[in-house]
Amino acid sequence: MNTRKFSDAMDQLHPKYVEEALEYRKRQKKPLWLKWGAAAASLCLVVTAVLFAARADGADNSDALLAVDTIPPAGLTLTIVDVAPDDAEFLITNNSDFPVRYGRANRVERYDSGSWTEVTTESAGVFPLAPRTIQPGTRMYGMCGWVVKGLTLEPGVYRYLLVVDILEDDREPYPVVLKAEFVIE
Amino acid sequence: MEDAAIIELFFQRSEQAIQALDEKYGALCHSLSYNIVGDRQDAEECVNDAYLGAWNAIPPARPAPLLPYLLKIVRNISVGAYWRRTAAKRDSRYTVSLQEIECCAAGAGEVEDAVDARELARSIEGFLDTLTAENRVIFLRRYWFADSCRDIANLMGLSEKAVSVRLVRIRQKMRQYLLKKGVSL
Repeated sequence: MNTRKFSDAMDQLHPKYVEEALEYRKRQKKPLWLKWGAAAASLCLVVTAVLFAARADGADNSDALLAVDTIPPAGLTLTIVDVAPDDAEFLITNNSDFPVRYGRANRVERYDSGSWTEVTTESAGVFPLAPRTIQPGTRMYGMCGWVVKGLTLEPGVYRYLLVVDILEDDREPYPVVLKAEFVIE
Repeated sequence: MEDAAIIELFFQRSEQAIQALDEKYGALCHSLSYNIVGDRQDAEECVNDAYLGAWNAIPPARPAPLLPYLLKIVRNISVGAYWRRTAAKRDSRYTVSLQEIECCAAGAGEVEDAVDARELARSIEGFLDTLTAENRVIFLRRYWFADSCRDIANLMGLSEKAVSVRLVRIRQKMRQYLLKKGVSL
């Protein structure tokens, strides 16, 4: 086995990969007070929206959001690209005609005896404070995120539900639920 | 001190150039070298040699950004020192990370074509471009920076186990990618 060759090859990688690894450190490092401050601000925003919003569907809590059955626009898909018992990566591909805003709620469900059972649900507070918009013709990777709860999934069939908002012109943003199944072996 | 100002000191052949470099980036340089050589004294020598290398290269080089350029010199010198040791004395984080790569090498007879380090580097770059940014950073932190899984976990906001699992999958993917390309390690 030529680990020496691998070592030499790593030394000849383009500097952009090293820069990315260095820059990632700077982007992710936030002081604890900023994280808690952002979480508190997010919670305030959610509470305020619940108290004062005049939304007809009342879908401001995770359970209600995840029960929305509006069909996603054609070309908007969610796939699971990498799976492990402690987390999985998803890919949102937006080939629809509309921008899509990421991050309202998600849920992991397990298929058991003919029905889907909730494993864990995350609410708006754990998503980025500044929503990410996925423009038409682009895509976004992300983590399903159950690892942060210390969960390890047993072998079985699961599905990941993710609530995103569709941003159509001349219409209020509305939520849709994207779903993708995956298998833990 | 800004990188541009440090480089200007090099161009002026000022003795303060090395001091300024060490004040700003010394900790990172020592950390990288120590990860590879596993000995504080040896790491100190490697970093000093790297500073001399930078002094000899700047000018005419005017690296921007400065840090990846400097770290590449540090790594190159440190890896050279690593391989000059006898196998019995190679006891560092870098040894552990190379052992992981050894396990994912193609078996005898699977691939006939052996490539040199430069070609392998291009192939690895092609593989890295198939990964998400997060996984790419994890790969670089492990096999370029020789960080421990714990350090990577702290950096990425993941558990140590999640990092370990991801590295297994990334190595498996790399093996498959290189086999398809007809490249052996």
